[in-house]
Parts: sequence; structure tokens; C-alpha cells
Amino acid sequence: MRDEHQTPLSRRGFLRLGAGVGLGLSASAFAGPLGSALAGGAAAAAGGGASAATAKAVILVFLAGGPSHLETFDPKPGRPTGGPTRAIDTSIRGVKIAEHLPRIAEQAHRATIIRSLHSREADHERATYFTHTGYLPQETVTHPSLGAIVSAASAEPGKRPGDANGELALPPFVSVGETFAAAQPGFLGVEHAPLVVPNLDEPSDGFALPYQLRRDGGRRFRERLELLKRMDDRFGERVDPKPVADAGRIRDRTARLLGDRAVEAFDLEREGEAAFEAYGESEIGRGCLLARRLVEAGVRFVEVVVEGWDTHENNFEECAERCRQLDPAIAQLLVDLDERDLLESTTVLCMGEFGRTPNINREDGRDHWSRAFSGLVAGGGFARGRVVGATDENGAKITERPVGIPDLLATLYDRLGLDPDESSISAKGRPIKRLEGGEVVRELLA
Amino acid sequence: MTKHARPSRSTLAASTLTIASAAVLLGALGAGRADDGPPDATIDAAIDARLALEAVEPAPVADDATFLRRVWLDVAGTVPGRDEAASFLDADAPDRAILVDRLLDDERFARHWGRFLLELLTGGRRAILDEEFNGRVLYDWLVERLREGDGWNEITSALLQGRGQADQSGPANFLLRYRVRPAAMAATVGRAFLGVSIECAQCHDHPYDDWTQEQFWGVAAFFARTKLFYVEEADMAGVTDVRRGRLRMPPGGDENSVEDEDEEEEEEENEDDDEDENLGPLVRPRFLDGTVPSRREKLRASLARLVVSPEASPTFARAFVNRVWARLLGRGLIDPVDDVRALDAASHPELLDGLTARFIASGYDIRKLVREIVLSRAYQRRARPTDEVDPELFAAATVRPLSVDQLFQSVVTGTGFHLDEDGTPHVFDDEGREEDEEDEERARSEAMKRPGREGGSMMGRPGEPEEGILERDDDWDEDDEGPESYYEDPRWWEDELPAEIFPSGAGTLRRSRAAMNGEASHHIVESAARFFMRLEGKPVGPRHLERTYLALLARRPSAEEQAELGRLIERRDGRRSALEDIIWAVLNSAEFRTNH
Repeated sequence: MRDEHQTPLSRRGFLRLGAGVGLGLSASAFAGPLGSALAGGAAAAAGGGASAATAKAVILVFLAGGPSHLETFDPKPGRPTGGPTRAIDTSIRGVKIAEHLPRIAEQAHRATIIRSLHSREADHERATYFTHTGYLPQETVTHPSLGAIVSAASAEPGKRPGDANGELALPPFVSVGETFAAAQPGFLGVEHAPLVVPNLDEPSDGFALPYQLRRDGGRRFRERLELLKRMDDRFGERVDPKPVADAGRIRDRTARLLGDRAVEAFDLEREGEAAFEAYGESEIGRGCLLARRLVEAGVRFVEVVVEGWDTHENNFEECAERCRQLDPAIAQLLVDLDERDLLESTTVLCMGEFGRTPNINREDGRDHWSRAFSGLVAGGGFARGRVVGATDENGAKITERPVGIPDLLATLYDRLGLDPDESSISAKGRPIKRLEGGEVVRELLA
Repeated sequence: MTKHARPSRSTLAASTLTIASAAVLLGALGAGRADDGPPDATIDAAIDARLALEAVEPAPVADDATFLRRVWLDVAGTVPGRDEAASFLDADAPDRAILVDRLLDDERFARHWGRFLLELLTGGRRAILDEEFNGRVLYDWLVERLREGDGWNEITSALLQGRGQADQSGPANFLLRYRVRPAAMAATVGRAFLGVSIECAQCHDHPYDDWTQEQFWGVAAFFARTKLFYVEEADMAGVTDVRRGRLRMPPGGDENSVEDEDEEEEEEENEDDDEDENLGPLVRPRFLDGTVPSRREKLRASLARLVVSPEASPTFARAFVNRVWARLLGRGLIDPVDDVRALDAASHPELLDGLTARFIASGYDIRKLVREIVLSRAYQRRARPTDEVDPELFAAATVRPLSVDQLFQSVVTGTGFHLDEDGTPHVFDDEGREEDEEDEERARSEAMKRPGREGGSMMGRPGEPEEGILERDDDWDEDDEGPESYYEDPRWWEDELPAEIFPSGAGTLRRSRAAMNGEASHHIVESAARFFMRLEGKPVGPRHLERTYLALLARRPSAEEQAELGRLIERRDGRRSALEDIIWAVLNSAEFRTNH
């Protein structure tokens, strides 16, 4: 045992410090006008025809490890490959999903289920990279993830979403939970790296200034910034202004964020008990609730990463347990967004890096399977109440309308009004398209 | 992702490699110049010749304070700290060569350069446990090799032949990092040892590259008999060699397309079903230069011999020399560093050639290579504005961001963070805290007067005792975090903490937020201020300022800085808060966060 005299620094201790440091800001109507501006803009765009952008924001709920399609959206009851998992009716007529997802089943009419996702990547790292970028990992270039691409696009002049006065302190790309290397900005540059919220217990940790820096209208924090700025300026003059200017930009962005009331969006305590109950008191529940708040506040891309889906052993109990948390979170997110008129402008995508083998292994588990797997997509111009694609009776092979990862991303970019062929210049001066290959999947569109 | 913790210990005899062959090559290259005059003459002769040719005036050699901080960070991975800085700067004639020799003999050289090698070998993994891969064991092994002064050829050879359980063998973890996959190993051999990217040829002959798919898979096939195994009881992986085994090129050349189901079936098929087209063709071991291994030698022993052989692998030594140069000067003599085949692509081909020859002649001695470079004038120049510099001329020093570990170690050195022999960290100690009680009491009572959720002193809630950051976490989840033995090793925090305090990359909002407003940062600032006040007394004055600057920036404050910061201190009546603000600003400054 670690004894009292030998106290290692605790990783968790770090994360927990500062719990209870409130934001100290009164409730504001901040989210309201922004939210409606967003929704209003989207409605106008939606009226403009199928090719115009319909999605302004994306929430990617990434089920890391590779969720079993057979225990979620593509159950095969009665088949040897189906295991004990039963199927239940959904609000889409004639469509059944796994029994573990009763609340999503009730809300299925708001979403589209894809049962024909496929890729060739059955390794976590590579498949995660592939699903996030549409590219296979390469040694010489790091491709930007979806979120970074949306961030870069929204950072272009005139494209900042829902931002009437051009002053949005929140960054366009926020990543909630443990972040993968695959969620990184690659050659688009660190300014499009996600703002990471690692701690879902206290997501506002590190955003609110401590009391002594905050009081008197943040006087002491401003003094610190002034001090720092003068140090940096002097150093730049003495040595090299360029790297100092780069550091200054990120310093100023951070300072603006820390001093801005927009960080209230991170404070889940502003939500009532009812919200926690509806989303479920779980990591993914809190993550989805936070994602909704961030989108309301104008964030363009929120990735919520939830681990634990790599069920090589004890697949059925593990899946049931994960689904108990996933089910209310996703269902309530769809309901909330819809009720706030945000679902029309916000795409919710829920998937993992691959599915799992139809064969059940000796440990009662399922291994990696990328030839056919499922996902759920809703809002932002995607169809409601539809199922796209199908697998054979064993859930092993695709029998209808295959949807490759590049196809899915192409469709997503289409809804966001982003041209997949647009190129960015990599660090080595090579132009690289947002996406290589991939066709818009019309069946997925509203 | 998931972390399992395992105890660490490394045992593996370094393999041998002939230095004789190096000497032969040296002769062949006609490198008689290696011994002409002091070693730095050769670097500077080459760099200066090109500067003269281009009529570029180089920046002058940096002053002692600048050199001191730069070379400490580059060689030992940390700022020197207050005492070291003061004694070097106050010496009658500071001797840079003596300083460099002392740093090369310092334990911190082995640890800092061990991280460099770990990063090179693993593509940036940290020295922690990560599924099959026990980075700690590999790191410890690398540090030991550097401490012992093993040559890069010996280290490489041992790595390529790594075997055994993850907790026993450093080199085995090099293979476990890539899950012992032949294609991943082939790509890594190319990248890490030979300075070439051959993995583009994995799936097809690359149109812009002269590597063929056959060459790529020929290297991969050297790993055909190397297997990953699991020890169920220990929940641990390892590497072993089997007597038979052939490698098939997977369909499309992409081994990742093979689903990891039915592994046993696959092996059986390999034995008796050669004709199945779906399995892809058999590939046979053949090194990049065409050498086919002898049947008498183990496959990986052959590979190790070929990789470190100057004849079979003309880029092995050059790639390493170029990487070390790039690490120290901010840019390789061949840039980028991942394709060093064409010597004429180098900015200074004769210099790269000479450095490489000397490196081989020295027995691939990493210390000697580092020493030669950091004692050159090219390394010791001042930095100057980027737009006045053509980087490939090395006319001035470049400003390089510190790595996470350099940042962390510098905080450790500069603020007094250290561990006792029994592993107890001593940084955020409570000494001096009582004396500051009044300050905090005032803050608390003010906080209490305010309505609502606004409470909180600097670190804690109002009315609560302030908790040190080192408080034990009672909710520690043993299962989740792994066996205790991992954390009984007092060094684990060196591997895990830095990435927590300075998360993600330089220039990201995540790191900048953590540095400017993270709990850990606030604690570091507060405790450093207490620590400095304990040493220098109250109230805060010029001595505290000088200590802060020497400790973190390895220089004394300028007159301008003294005046400006003096005014702040005066305004705050010499209270700790002024020192805290100064330390906070220094720790966040570009000057602290870069090597320059």
C-alpha cells in the first residue's frame, strides 16, 4: 500500500482541485440570443435549397473502442451471432434496435440509423484516425480532424457563426473527455486544436479565474497580463519578434476566454436537477449536456469522447452497461435540440471507429470488425426517421447501400456547406484536399 | 488510452557491433580531416565558408548567460537554476567547455537524451504504461545505455533484437509499441534508424519514390518469426521468436486491413495452404540493399547487423547525426530529417559527411557528437529576427519551444520542486504559510461577504483549510490505475505529471489555459513565491527579483526590469502577491517557454 508518508502526486487530485470554484457570474441571457440567431440563420439557409448549408454545428459523440453494432443499432436476435440481445420496436415503423436503447428507440423518428458503415481499418489508432479525418495515417503528414476543419472554416472572415458582433470568446472546436491524437488539427495549425475539457465532473475547471484574480473586476489578472505582455515585448525586441508574436496571439485568446462570461457555458451547475436526470448521471450524460450548452453558446464543433466500447470480453454485459448511459444521453440531446429549434441546424453524429465481430469469442466477447457497422446521425439537414443500409442475417456483411467513412464525411461537409475538394497547404507545401474520394449519400439527406 | 501499470526493470545485454567496420569505412571516406585540429573547427569551417560565400554576416556569439541557459536545456533538459547560474556567471572566466563536459557527465544528460531516443523510437510515446507497451521500462533501459556510454549502433542492435516480457526487457517494449507487426516495424526501421520513409511503399510502389513494395515487405519479413505473446496471470505482453514462420503480404499490402479475428486459423492456414489467393503472396526477408539473410543466422540478428552496417545502410549514422544536429540547431543539415538519402540535399554536405565519419570513428558516441556541436560557434550564436535569417545558413540561433519535459524540469529546478529519497515530493510545502495567514484571512472574509457562488480564496473554498496539491486522493481507484508498484517508483510523476501540467502542444489553447489558469500552475506560482520568501525574507524586494530571474531565466534582471517590477512591488507594499504576479508572468513568458 502507499502509506501516508509516501504520498504520490495524484493524477486525479489535480483534476479535482478547484472543484467548487464557482464562476461567480450572475445568470445571463447570453445563450438565448445567440441560440436564436443560430437557429434563425439555419432556417433561412434550409429554405434556400438542398445544396445550401443546412448545418451550422456538429456534435460528434465518439464511442471509442468500437461499439458492437449487434448490441446497438443492428441486432440479430435468434441468430447464433446475435447472442442474447433482443430487439425492440422504435418510433420508425418496422424498425427495431437493440433492447438496451429504449429511449433512443422512442426518439428514433428524429434521427437516421446507418447500418452499412464500413472501412478497412480494424486497428483502434488507425481506424480512429480514419474516421476523424477520412485519410489513412501517413508518416509525413498529419491530417486535420473534422473538428479542426470546421474550426478553420468558421475562422474565415465573415463565417463566424451566430456571432453578431464578431466577438466570440469561445473557440469553434471543443473536445470533451479524453482527446485522441486523431482529434488534432494536423497541418491546419495549433490554433485549430480543440479546446479540451478533460474533466467532466467539473468542466468549468480552469476556465473560471480564482477569486483573487477575479475580484475588483479582474484587476489583478489584468495586471498580470500587462506584466507578461511587457516581458514578451521586450524579449521579442531583444531576440526575435516572430515567435513572440505567435505566443502573444494564443496568450491573448486565452486571456479573452478566461475573462469572458461565455465560459458560463462550461458550468453545468447552471442546469437544473431535471436536466441531469434526463441525460443521466454519467460521463456521457454530462458530456452531451455540455455539448448542448456549447452549441447554444455558438461553438461549431463539439466532440464528446466516451471510452469503454472495446468489448473483447464479456461483451453483452458490458454493452448493456454502456448503453444504459448512452441511451438517455443521446435521446435527451435529440429532444433538447429539437425543442429549442436547434436540431435543424445541428448535426448529431454518434459512432465509433468500427463495429465488432459477429462471431462471439471464447471470452463471451466480440473482436474488431470494420466491414460492417452502425451509426446514428440526426439534424442539420440529415433525414428524420430513416434507416440507411443493411447487413446480412449475421450482421457480418453489408447487403444494402454501403456507406464508407469518406462518404459519410462528404455528406457531413455537404450539409456544412464545405467543399470537400478545397485544399489546404500542408507543412511541406503539398496541397491536400479536405477529403479524398467519398460521395454524398443522398439517402441520408432530408 | 487505458493505462495498466506494471513494475519496471530492464535487463538486456547490449549486443555487440564491430567498430572495426566503422574504421574501415572511415578510411574509405578519406576522413583524415577528422583529427585535424580541434573538432569545432570543422563545423565552423564549413558553416563560415558558406556564410562567406553568401556574404551573410552571422550573429555574434551569445553572452555567457544566454549560452548557459541554452546549453543546460539542450544537454541536461532543464534551466540551470539559481545557484548554478550565479556561480557560472560570477566566475572570473566562465569556461564553456568545462561546463559542457560537466553536463554531459550529469545524470540529467542521460535522462534528457533518453527521452529524445524514446520519442524517436516510439513516435512520441511517453515513458508510461500503455496497453502492451511499457514505456517506462524502455525509457529506463535507454537511460542506462546512455549513462554507460553505449554507441548508437549497439543500442540499435539491441533494440532490434528485443525479446522477453514487457516488465523485463527495454528493447522488447520497442517492438511492443508496434504490437510486433512486421509492416509497422519495417516502417519504423526506416524512419527511426535509416532516416528514410519506406512505408509509402507498403501498399504500392510509390510513384515519386524509388522504394518498391518488394523492398518494404522484404524488411518486414525479417520480423516474420517474431511474435507477441501474453502472460495471462501477469496481464502482460512480451516478444518471442518462433522457429518457423513466413510472412504473407496482406491483400492490398495493408496489414491493418486484416481483422483480428480467428488468429489461430490464420496461422494454420499459413502452414498448409500456400495457394489461397486471398492470403496474398509470401514475402521473403531481403534487406534494402538486396542482401538476403543467411540461414544460419536468426532473422533479427541479420537485420540488426545490416541496419548498423555502414555498407548495407549508408544512411544509418548520417540519419542520427542529422537528427541530433536538428535537435540542437533547430533544423537539420538535411531538412526535413526523414529522408537523408541524398547527401547533396544537405545545406553543408561536406560537414554532414565529416560529422558522420567522426561519429562512426568514435564508436557512435552520442556524448562526443553532442559535445562537438554545442562547442561550435554555429551553436553558440545569438538569435536574431527570423526575417533576417536564411535558416539553412545557421547564421543565428533559432528560438525553439521547450518540450513538455524541459518545461517541467525547469519548473522543478527553478522553483525547488524535488523528491526526497523516499519519494515524497517537496515543492508545495506549507512552510511560511502561517505568516501569510493575514493576507488570506482578508481575502476569505471578503469572499464570504459576497453573495452566491462566488466564494473561494486563491486555492480553496472560504473557511476551508487550504489544501496542498499533494493531498492524497482517497478515491484512488487501484484497479483503474494499475498495481501499486508502479507508483512506488518515485519517478512515475516525472513521466505523467508534465503532460498534465503542460497538456497538449505548444501554442494550443489547452496548454495556454493550463499554464495561465490551471490549478497546478497557481500552486507552482504560490509555492515558489513562498519558497523564495523563505530564502530571501520579507518584504519582497530586489533580492527576490534577482532570485526569480536567475532561477527561471538564468540571468539577472535588467535595469529597466528592476525599475518596472520594483514599482509593482512598492505598490503592493512588498507583499507576496507582487512576487506571485512576477513569477506567474515569468513562467508564462516566451523567454521562459523557449530555448533561444
